[in-house]
Amino acid sequence: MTDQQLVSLVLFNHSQHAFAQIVTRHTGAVYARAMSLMHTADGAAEVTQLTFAKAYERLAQFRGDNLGGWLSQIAAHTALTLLGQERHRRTVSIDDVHVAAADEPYSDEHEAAMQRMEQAIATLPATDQQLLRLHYYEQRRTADIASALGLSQSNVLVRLHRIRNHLRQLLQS
Amino acid sequence: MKQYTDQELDLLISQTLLREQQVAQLRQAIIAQARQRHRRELLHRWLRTAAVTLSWAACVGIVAMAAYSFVCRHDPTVGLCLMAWPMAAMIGITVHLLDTIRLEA
Repeated sequence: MTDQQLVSLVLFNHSQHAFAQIVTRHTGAVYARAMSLMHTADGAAEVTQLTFAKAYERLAQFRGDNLGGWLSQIAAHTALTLLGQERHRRTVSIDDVHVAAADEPYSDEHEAAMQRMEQAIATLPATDQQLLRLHYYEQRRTADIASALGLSQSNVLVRLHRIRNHLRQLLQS
Repeated sequence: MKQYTDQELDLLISQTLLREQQVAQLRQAIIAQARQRHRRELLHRWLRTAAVTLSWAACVGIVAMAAYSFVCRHDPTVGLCLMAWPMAAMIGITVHLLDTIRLEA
């Protein structure tokens, strides 16, 4: 179903399922856009939530066929508004700003690398994705991963090595 | 194109997966928020309809009572005094309720 069809369903049938699909499709891109402006995970999450709340209220104003672009514009506007409010609320010395910037791991290059990595992971088979999640996100031991996936421990290590090499190639291609 | 060391690659994979989980949680929160807003809107719409209906009923009731008093007793003020105050109070409470809900939304 296209974005426009989903928008029509939300507007005319008040379909919550259609809105959930819109959210599912575009949250990643909106979050990445918000992150590129806010530079903090909390700020990006706040902007993403506000963006979808505004989009829900103003969905009738959406024209054209690029819903992702429209949401991205709302996210950028929301982020700039929040940053403006923050700037007015705080009076920070130049030194503090430098310290804050130095502590912040965000960079456009890193953000782009993460997006490329996300796309690369999405191309992997489901089992490999699960293997990565168990190893990197849940930080489970090799023995646990092996029993969870029904593989031998050496097989888990070999597969992890292959997946890493594959991802490296995808990133550098 | 940047060459990644094993350590950098591991870090990037971990951060990407962490981000993926954060976005998934955020997605759930946004969907739940939208559902809650939708339910509130439905309630608001229902209350607004009920308030409008009650207001019309109140107006008709007042006029009917006044007409009855005027025709049968030749005294419209009796009906108006009896009916107007409770009806006005009811309308006032309903409108106040609606405003409260709108403010919360």
